[in-house]
Amino acid sequence: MTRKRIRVLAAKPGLDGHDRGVLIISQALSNAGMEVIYTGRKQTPESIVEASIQEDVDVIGLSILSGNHLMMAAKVVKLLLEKNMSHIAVIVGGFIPDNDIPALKELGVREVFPSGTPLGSVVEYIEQSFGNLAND
Amino acid sequence: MLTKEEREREESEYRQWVKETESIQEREFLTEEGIPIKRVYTPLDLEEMGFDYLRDLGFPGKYPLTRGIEPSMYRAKPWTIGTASGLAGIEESNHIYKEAISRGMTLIGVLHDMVAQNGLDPDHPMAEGEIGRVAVPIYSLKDFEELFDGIDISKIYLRNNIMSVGIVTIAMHLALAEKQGVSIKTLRGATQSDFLKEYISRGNWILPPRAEMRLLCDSFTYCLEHAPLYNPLSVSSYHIAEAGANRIQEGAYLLAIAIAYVEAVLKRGINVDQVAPLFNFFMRLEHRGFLEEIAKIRAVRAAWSRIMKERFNSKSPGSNFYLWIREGGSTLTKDQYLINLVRMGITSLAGMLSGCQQMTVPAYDEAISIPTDKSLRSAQRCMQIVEHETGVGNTVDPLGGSYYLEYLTHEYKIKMRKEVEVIDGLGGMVAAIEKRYPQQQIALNAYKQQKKIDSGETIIVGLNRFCSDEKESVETYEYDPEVARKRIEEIQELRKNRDNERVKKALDKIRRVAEKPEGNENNLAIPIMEAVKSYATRGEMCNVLREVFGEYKERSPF
Repeated sequence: MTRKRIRVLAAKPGLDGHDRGVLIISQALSNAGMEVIYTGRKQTPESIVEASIQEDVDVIGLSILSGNHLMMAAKVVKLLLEKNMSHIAVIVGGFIPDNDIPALKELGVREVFPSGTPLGSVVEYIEQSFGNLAND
Repeated sequence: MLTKEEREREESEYRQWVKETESIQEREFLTEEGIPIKRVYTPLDLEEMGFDYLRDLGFPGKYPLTRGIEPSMYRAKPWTIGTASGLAGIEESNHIYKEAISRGMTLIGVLHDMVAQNGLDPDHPMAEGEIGRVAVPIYSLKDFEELFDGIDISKIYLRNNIMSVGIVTIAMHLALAEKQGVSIKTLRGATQSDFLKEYISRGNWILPPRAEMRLLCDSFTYCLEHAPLYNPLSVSSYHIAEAGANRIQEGAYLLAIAIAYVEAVLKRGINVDQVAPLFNFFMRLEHRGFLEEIAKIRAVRAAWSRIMKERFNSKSPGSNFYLWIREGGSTLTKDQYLINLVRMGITSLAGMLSGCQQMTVPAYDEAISIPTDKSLRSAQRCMQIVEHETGVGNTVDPLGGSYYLEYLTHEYKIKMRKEVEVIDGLGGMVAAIEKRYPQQQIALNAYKQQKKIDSGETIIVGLNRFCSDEKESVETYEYDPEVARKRIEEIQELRKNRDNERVKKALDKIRRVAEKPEGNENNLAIPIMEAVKSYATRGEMCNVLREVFGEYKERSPF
C-alpha cells in the first residue's frame, strides 16, 4: 500500500497581496511531503475553483488577511457545490476574528487557522483529514 | 586608536578576564542573521575591525552620515511624528486626521484602500468586499478634496501609500494643493510610488516594471520642474521586512531598489544631485533586536552615502537619506493587547536613537482591527513621550561609540554591501526580481522565522509565552458594509455630473501619449494631471494605462 501525496491548492483570493503567510504554509506543507500548488495573488473564487479542479486537489487553502473571508469562502464553497466538486475541502487561514469561525464553518469551511496558529497544527490537520492509503 | 602599549595591556587583561570567567555556562548568542554576539565588546574589537572614527562615523551631516544626515538633528529640527491611518469612511478619516493634527502630529500618512492601490474603481468585480475595508476608499480628486476638507495640506507632510501608478496620486495631490490655494512650488509631501518592492512583498502591482518605471521617471521630471520640494518616491523596505526579510536583506534590497530607480531617472538627462532631493526612504524599525535595529539604520545610511558617492558621484552623497520609520504591525499581539503600547514605546525610543526624520507607530489594536481614534491617540503619545521626556534627542547619535553598536553597524554594512553585489551580479534589482531571487530569499527567511516562533526559540510575549486565558474585550473599529454601497453610488454620481467631454478627451490624451515612446517629451504626468482635474476616476485612468502597457504577470517564487 502506498501513500498518495495530498494535493493542496494554496490560494490568495481578492486584492490583498500580502503573501508571507501563504508562502510559509506552502513551504511547510511541501516539506511535509504534500503537493502544493500556489495560485499566486489576486485570484477570484472562479479562478481558484477552476484551478482546484484542473489540479485535482484534495483541499483548497484560502489565505485572507483583508477581512473579506466570509464573502470569499462562501463563494468558493458555492462554486464547488455548483460544479459537483464538494469533495474538495475548503480551509481558511489569515486574519480571522474568533467570532467569525463558527460562521465560516456553517458556510462549509472545514477548519479555520487564524494567524498565530503554529505551522505544525496546519500540517497535522491536513495529514489527518486527507492523508489516505491508495491501494496498489 | 590604541597605542601599542595600551593594546597589549588590554589584550592581556582581556585574556585574564576570560580565564577567570571561563566556568560560566552560556549558550551561543547570534543575531537573527547569524552574526555572533560576544559576551562583551571592548576597544579591542574596534581595533580589530579597523575602526576609524573619521572614516566610519564622521560628524553628523558630513559624509558618510552614519551619525545623522544633519549636523544638529533634533536639537535644531523637531522630529516629525504622525500617523499612517485611514478608515472606511472619508468623513471619519478626515476626522481622525484632524484629531491627529490637533495632538501635534505633523505627518499624515494616508492609507488608500486595496481597490485604490490596485488602480480599480469600486464597481469593478474584484472590488467586491474590499471597498474601504482596510483603509480609505479614495477614487478621484473629489474624494481627496473631501478627505482634506478643512485641513491645510501646506502645514503637514502628507504621505500617500500608493505604490503602483503613483503618478496618478501625485497628480491628485498636486491638484488638491492647487484647489486649496497652496503653491506646488513649495509643497512638501510624498507618494510612495515604490513599485519594485511590490513585486517582492506587498503584491499590489498594476503594470509591468518597464511601464511603471517610465511613469516614475515622468513624475520625477514633472516634479523637478513644477514641484521641486515634493517627493514623488519613497524607497521602502518596511514591507520587505514585514514579508520576512532579515536586516541584511532589508537593507540590501532597499539599496538595490534605490540604485535601480536612480539609474532609470538619470537616463532622462537629469543629474544625480537634482534626482536625490526628490526622493526619500521608508524602513521598518522594530523593538525586537533593539540595538540591532539601530545598527541597521546607521549601516544603511552609511552604505547609501557611499553608493551615492562612488556609484553616482553625488556632491552631497547620502543627504537624501531622509527617513520615515514605522514599527512593523506583524510583531504586535492580540492577546493582552495593551502590552503593544510598551512595544511602541520601545520602538519610539529606538527610532529617535537611530536618527530618523519621521516616525509613526501602529496602535495597540493593530492585531485585531484597523485603529480607532482612541488607539491612534495612545500611539501618538508614545512618540511624544520619547521626544519630550527621555532626553535622548538632546545630543546627536548618543549611542555612537558603543563598542557593540559600532561592531554591529560595521557587520551589517559589510554584509549588506555583499548582498547588493549579489544583486549586481544578477543584473541589478529589476533583473533579480525577474529571476525571483529576492522573492525566494524573503520567503525562505519568513519560513525560518516562523519555525523559530513555532518552536519557541523566538519568544513573543502573549503569543507563544506568557499568554493570558482571559478574553479581554476591546473597543474596535467596525467595518460598515454600507460604506461600499455608498461609495459605488457616489462614484456613479460623479461620473454623471462631471464634464464627460473633458474627461474623455483627457483619457484619450493619456492613451495617445502612452502609445508614444517614453521620454521627457512624452511626459504622461501632463495628460494625467488634466484627467485628474477633470475628475476622471483612478480606475478609468489606470484602465487606459493597462490597455496600453498590459498588466504585470506574477510568477510564484517556488
